[in-house]
Amino acid sequence: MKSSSLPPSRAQRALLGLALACGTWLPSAHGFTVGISPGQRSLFLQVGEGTMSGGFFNSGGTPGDNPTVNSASVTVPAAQLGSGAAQPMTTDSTVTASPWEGAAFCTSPATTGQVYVGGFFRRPGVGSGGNEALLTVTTPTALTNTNGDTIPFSRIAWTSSGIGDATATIPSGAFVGGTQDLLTVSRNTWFESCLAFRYLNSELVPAGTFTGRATFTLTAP
Amino acid sequence: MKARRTLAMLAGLLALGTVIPAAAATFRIDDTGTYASQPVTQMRWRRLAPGRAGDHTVEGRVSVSLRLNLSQWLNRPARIYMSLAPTDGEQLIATWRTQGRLLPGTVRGGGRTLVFEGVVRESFLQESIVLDLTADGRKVEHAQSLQFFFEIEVSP
Repeated sequence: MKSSSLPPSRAQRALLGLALACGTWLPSAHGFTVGISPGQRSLFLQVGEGTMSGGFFNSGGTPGDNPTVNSASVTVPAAQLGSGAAQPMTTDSTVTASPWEGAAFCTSPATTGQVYVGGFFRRPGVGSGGNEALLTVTTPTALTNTNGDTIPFSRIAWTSSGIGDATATIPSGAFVGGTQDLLTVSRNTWFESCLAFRYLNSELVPAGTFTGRATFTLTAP
Repeated sequence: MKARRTLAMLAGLLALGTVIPAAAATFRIDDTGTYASQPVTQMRWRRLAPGRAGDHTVEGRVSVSLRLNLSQWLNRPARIYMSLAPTDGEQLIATWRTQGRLLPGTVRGGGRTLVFEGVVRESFLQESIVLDLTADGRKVEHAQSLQFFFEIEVSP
């Protein structure tokens, strides 16, 4: 019995050829592939009042646009005009809770004038470049009244804090009358602080109501 | 006497049932006909915001219809493993639920997990699984392909 050593017959060769051809047409698979794509980039900033729906961030809530522009204001008593005694400002913002989980973070704005400022920068990856977002604030050179009188915006300063924070995330400072950097926000980090504004009251100014707007911006690469 | 001892040893080996010897041979399983419900799964942040705790997990879900060709090992005791090839710089974790024909489990990139142990009773094993994928989203910067495959261990 040495049939296996005999050369294949014509029919066997034809079958072998057919089998090889079938192998080419119907290749077998030894594994499957699942494609994945990275998480999406996102940017969030809340200054004063904000809008969340479905809970807070940590419970799956999602933020919405909130067009409210909150104010910080002070009426300087006549006897104090230009005395150099800083005058704490009050605010119409009522936000005390962090949108992260709803815990109290600012101390009663009604008594402290604290305005909530917080946000985050989401971006997948750890590659070089694009690691930081930038929080800035822009103000005009001066606050003005209806007569055109002015008070330099640099006469308004703030103290930054947050319940539970040993050091405030956004540094304390004063407006410069232009655009200034407040905070560098690292990729995939959360930030928040409560800013209590005060008028420095360092000079005599004409009577009137002086106004100006500070615009906070978070910019990501 | 010698023949009786040999028969006794053979009976003992048979009694072991599905136990696979340490020197079992391993083969890649032909899974032609297996397909995922979608070609690309969008990974989503578990938490939209990183928050103070810094949760950077991304997760995604995909259903997979499996068809494993086991015809070569019919009526043989075997172990089947689901494997995930090493992933691109990140320890991605895949967890799956099954309909009961395979075992549920978890596997990391570069690892494998037992999904079947017993005697192969059918030429084609068909199963639907739901794969839940999780990873550190900070390390998943680009789209990538996860390579899953099945291995079978049988005695020589």
